[in-house]
Amino acid sequence: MAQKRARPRSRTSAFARRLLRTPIAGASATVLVLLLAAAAFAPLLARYDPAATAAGPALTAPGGAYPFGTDRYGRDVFSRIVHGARVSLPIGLAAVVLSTVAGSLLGLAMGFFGGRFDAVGSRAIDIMLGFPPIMLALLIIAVLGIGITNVILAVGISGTPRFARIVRGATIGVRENVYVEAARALGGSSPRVLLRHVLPNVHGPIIVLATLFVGRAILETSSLGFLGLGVQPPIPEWGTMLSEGREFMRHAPWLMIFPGAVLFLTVVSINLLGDFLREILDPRLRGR
Amino acid sequence: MRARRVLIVALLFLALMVPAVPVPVVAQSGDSITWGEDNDLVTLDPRVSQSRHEAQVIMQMFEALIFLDTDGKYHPWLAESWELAKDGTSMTFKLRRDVKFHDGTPFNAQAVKFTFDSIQDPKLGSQAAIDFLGPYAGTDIVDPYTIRIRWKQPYSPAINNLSNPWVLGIVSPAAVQRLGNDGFARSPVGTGPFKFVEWVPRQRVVLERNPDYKWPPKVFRNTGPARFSRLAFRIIPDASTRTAALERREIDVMDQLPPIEVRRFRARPDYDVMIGDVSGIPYGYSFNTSREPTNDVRVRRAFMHAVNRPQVVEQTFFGAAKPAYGPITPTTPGYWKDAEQYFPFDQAKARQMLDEAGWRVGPGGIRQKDGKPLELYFPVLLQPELAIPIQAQVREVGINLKVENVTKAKQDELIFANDYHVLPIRWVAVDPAVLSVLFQSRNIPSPGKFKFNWNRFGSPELDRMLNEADGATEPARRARLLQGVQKFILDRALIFPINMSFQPVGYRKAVTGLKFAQGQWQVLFYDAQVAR
Amino acid sequence: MASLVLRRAGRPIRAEAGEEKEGGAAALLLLETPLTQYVVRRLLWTLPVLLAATTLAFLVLHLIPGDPVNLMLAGRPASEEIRENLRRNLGLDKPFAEQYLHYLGNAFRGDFGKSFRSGLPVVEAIGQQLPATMQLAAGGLLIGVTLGLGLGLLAGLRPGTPTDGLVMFIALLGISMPGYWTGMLLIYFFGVRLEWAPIVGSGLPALILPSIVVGSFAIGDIARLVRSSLLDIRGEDYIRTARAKGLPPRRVVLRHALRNALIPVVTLMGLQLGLFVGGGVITETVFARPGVGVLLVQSILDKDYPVIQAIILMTTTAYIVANFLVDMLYVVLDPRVRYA
Repeated sequence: MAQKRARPRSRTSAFARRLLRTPIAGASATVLVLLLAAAAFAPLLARYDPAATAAGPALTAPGGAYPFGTDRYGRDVFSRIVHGARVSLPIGLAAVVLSTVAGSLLGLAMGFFGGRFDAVGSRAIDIMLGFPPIMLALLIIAVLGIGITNVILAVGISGTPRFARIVRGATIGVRENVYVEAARALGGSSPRVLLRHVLPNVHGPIIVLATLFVGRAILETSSLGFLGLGVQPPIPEWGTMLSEGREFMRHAPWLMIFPGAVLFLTVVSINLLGDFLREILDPRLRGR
Repeated sequence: MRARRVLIVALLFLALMVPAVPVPVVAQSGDSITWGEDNDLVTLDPRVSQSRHEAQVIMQMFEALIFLDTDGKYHPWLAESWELAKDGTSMTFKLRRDVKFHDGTPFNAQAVKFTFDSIQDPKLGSQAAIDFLGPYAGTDIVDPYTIRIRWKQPYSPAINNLSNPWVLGIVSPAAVQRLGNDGFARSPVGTGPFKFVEWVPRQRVVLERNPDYKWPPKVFRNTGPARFSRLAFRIIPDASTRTAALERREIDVMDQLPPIEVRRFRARPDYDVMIGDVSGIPYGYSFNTSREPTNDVRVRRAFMHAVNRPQVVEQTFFGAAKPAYGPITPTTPGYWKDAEQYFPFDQAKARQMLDEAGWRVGPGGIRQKDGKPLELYFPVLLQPELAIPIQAQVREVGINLKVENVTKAKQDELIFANDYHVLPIRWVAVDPAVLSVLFQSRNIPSPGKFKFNWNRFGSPELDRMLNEADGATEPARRARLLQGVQKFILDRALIFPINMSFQPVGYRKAVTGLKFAQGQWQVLFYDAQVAR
Repeated sequence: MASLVLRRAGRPIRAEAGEEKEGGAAALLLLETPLTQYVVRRLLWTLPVLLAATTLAFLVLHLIPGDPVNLMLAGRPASEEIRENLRRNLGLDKPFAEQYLHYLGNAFRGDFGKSFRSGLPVVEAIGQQLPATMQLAAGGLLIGVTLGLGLGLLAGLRPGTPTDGLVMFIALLGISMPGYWTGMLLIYFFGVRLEWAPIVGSGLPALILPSIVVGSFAIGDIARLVRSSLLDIRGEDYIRTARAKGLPPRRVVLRHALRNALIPVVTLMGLQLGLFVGGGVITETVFARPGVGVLLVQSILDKDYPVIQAIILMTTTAYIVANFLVDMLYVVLDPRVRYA
C-alpha cells in the first residue's frame, strides 16, 4: 500500500519532464495557459467594452484597431472573444466539476457495492447514454429554463452518466485488488474503504476523463448558445457569437472564423493535453 | 468467405437505416415555383389563422368578397358588386355565379353565411378573423347569390376587412363538414387559383394550379388558370440558409431576405429584390403598463428618449428599413403626421425624467429606487437583432434591459402569465381599425385568451375613442377620431414604434409577375410565370 | 453463469480495459449456453429496460413547468368550460398514478396521442420527420464508418510511425470541432464559394455536406477504437498462429485482425445510434433540414409533451434494439465463438 501511495509523487516529476519533452502537449499547455491568462486579464487585453455597440464602424474587416474585425453592431470581435473566454471557460469547468463529482460518486458506489444497486444504476445509465448529451442538456434546459446556472447544470448533468460508467468500470477493477479485500477484512467501513483505498486508485481515469470532458463541456455550452438556449445577450459567448455571425458568412466571414477558431483551438488543446495525461496517468486507456 | 459474410452483415446493418420510401422531391422544372418561407405553420384555415406566414399560403387558395389592391382601390372578386347601408350597419353583396370550390361544390350565399357564422363559434377558436368581423350580427341570405351582412353598430373597417382573403376568405362548407375543423385546417378547400396538395409540417406545403379557375379580379393580367402548375413553400427558418438556397436556385423566391443582402442581390443580373412597405402597426415595443416599473409613464418616456431610432434602424437593417414614429405606419389610412415629433433622441432628457421619477444612478451605472435596480425584462421573439443596440443605448441612461431570446411558446406563456416589461409587436393590416386589436381593453390577454393588447392598458376612455373611430362612416370624421387615438397612445407612451415593417422578397429574375398582396407583406403568385 | 452473460450482454460496452476482459469471458461463457436460450433471455431483458424508459419519459416531462392546456390551445381563446374539457380529454384531471397507467396502456398499443401543436397523431408527426433523419443517419454512418475504419487501420497497422501520429491527430481534430462550425465552414467553402454541393435542396446530393458533419462526430471515435483494438489483438494467440503459419501480414490483418477490430466498432455504432438519430439536431439546424432532432428541440420548446415522450421512447427503443443487434453480431463476428 505504501508503494501505491508513493506512485503519484514520482508521476508528478515524470509528468513535468514528459510534458516538456512532448512538443504537442507542450504547445497545448501553452495555448491553454495563454487562454486562461486572456480570461484573467481580459479587461486589460480588450480595448473595448465587449458589449459596446459602435466601438467601431459596423462590419470592419480584421486589422488595425480591430484585429478580429467588428460585427454588425460595430462591436470589437477581439474584445468579445477575450471576454468570451471568461464565460465559456468557467462554464465548461463548472459543468465538469459537476459531472466529475456526481459521476465519480455514482460510479464508485455502483462499482464498489455492486449487486442490485449496480444493476439498477447501470440500467438507468444505459438509458441516459441512449441520448446524445446535447439532447439531455436540452431536456434539462426545458425543465429549468434559460440562464447561466441552468446551462452549467444541463451540461454537467448530461455528462454525468458517461463519467459514472467509466469510473464504475475502473472501480470494479480495483475492488478485486487484494489490498481492498484486506482493508475490508480488517473491518473498514464501506465509505472509509471507498475513500481511502478505492478512490486513490481510480483517480487516474477520473483526472483523464475530467480533462477530456472540459473540452466536451465547452463544446456543448457553445452548442446551446448556438441554438439560442445558452447565455443571453449582451454577454459574449463563443457559441452565441458564431450563431450571430452566421448571417454574415458571405460579407464578414471573420465573424464566423475567429470565434470558431478560438473555440476549436481551446478544445483541441484540452483534448491533446487529455491524451497526454492519459498516457501518463492511465496507460490502460492509451489510444482510446 | 468469412470476410464477405462480415461485409454482408455490415451492409445489412446499413440497409436497415435507409428508409424504403424516398422523400418526394419538389420539382425544380420551369413548371413550378418554390417559395422559401421563414417560419413554420400551424393552420391553413383562414378562419383560424393569425400568422402572416400562414397568410402567405392561405392567400393563394382562398378568396374574399372584395379585392383590395396595393393602391387602396377596391375591385369585384367573389362579389360582383356591393352596397353599404346608409346607417353603416349592413352591407349587401351580389355574388358571382360561376365560382366553384376546389372540391367541386358551388360557391353561393350559403357558403358565405356558413364561413362568417362559423367564425363566431368558440369551438373553432378563431384568432384573427373574429376581430376582423367586428361587431358581427349575422348574415342574411337574400337569394342564393345575394347576401346581407349585418353589424350590431356601424363598422367602418368592414370593407377593408372583408377584402382580406387571409382571414375572411370563403371556405367550402361541404369540406368543413366532411373533414371537421381540425381536418380542414390541414387540408383546406377554397376557391382560389391554387389548390391544396400536401403539407408536411416543418418541411413544405405544396399547392397545384386550379385548372377551373377563371374568376380573378381585374387587377391581374391573367384571366384563366395560373401559368405554372405547381407552387411549393419550403420552410427554411434560417435566413442565411434560405439565402444560400436562393443563390443555388434551390428555391425561386424567398421572404425576409437579410437586409445586408438586398444591395448584392439587386446588383446581380439574375436576381432582384422587391421590398414591401408594410402597412398596419409598425415594429415596436409594447410596454407593460400593469407592472412596475413600466407602469410609470416617465420610465416609458425616458426609454424612448434614450434610443436614437434613425441611427439604430439604419445600422441594424443596413438602410433597408425606415424608422417609425406613430402607432400606425404612414401607409395606413388615417396616419397622424405629428407623431413624428414625439420622443426625439435626447438622452439628457431621459436621464432627467428618470431622476424625477426617483431612479438614481447606482453601482455599475444602473439606476436604483428603494434598493431595486431599474431592470426591464425583455423576452424577444421578433427582430432580436434590434434588441442589442437598443439594450446598449438605454444602458447609457441607466436602464438595464434584460434581453432573453425566446420561442413563440415561451413568449405566449409569458404573455399569459403577465411576466414581461417590454415585448416586441407588429401587425400587418390595411385598416387603422387594427389599433383596436392592440389597444382595446377587451384584448388584454389572460390565461388561455391570447390577445394582442400587450400594453395591458385598460382605459374606458381609449376604448370609447376606438369604438367611435371604428363606427365613423364618414372618412374625414374617422380620420379626425383616429388622430385623437394616436395622440392618446403616444401621450401615454404605451408603445415605442421603432421601424416600419418591411418585407424584402428576393427572387430569381426567371420568375416574373410576382405581386404584393394588400398590406405588402405576402406575395400573390397568380400572375407569376417561370421562364423555361 | 447465464446471468453473467446477460449482464454483459445487456450492457453496451464501450471499449474500456476492465470491461473488455469481462466481455471476452462472457463470449467464452456463451459457448456453454445454447444460443436460442441466450437470445430469448436477452430479449426478455429489454422489457424492464423499455418500461424504465417509458416511466422516465413520463416523469421527466411532468416536471416541466407550464400548463399544457394553454399550450394546446396555441393561444386560441377558450372559455373555462372548454379548458376543463380539454383537461379531461388529456386526462390531466386524473390522479398522477392513473395518468401514468393510462399513458402506459396507450403507449403499449402504439398510441401516443396527438401533438399539442399540430394536432396530428404523434406517430404521424414523427413518421413525417423520420425519413429525413434516417437518411442523414445512414449518410453519417457511411462516412463515419468508412473514414473511421480506414484511418484506424492506417494507424493501427503502423503504430508509432508518423502516419499513426498524423492519423490520431486528425481523429482528435474531428472530435474537437464544434459540429455547427464544421457545418458552417462546409456551407461557406463548398456551398457558397465553390458551389460544389447543394446546401438545402433534396435528394442525395443535398445529403453530402450534412452527412459529413454527422459523420465527423464519429470518425474520430471509430478511428481511435479501431486502432486500439488492432493493437490489442496483435499479441493474441491466433494471430501469432496465423503468422507462424506463414500467412502474409496483410492477409493476417484482413482475415483475422480486421474482423476483431470490427467488434468494438459495431458496439460503438450501436452506442452512437442515438447520436445519429437524435444528435443530428445541430446538423439539422445548420442545414435547415427537417428531422426528428429538430422536431424534438421544437417540441421541448413548445412543451409538446406527447411528441417528446414518443421521441424519448423511440430513441431508447432504437438504442435497445441496436444493442440487441450488436450483441447478436458478436456471435457472427467473434472468432472465439465461430471457431468453437
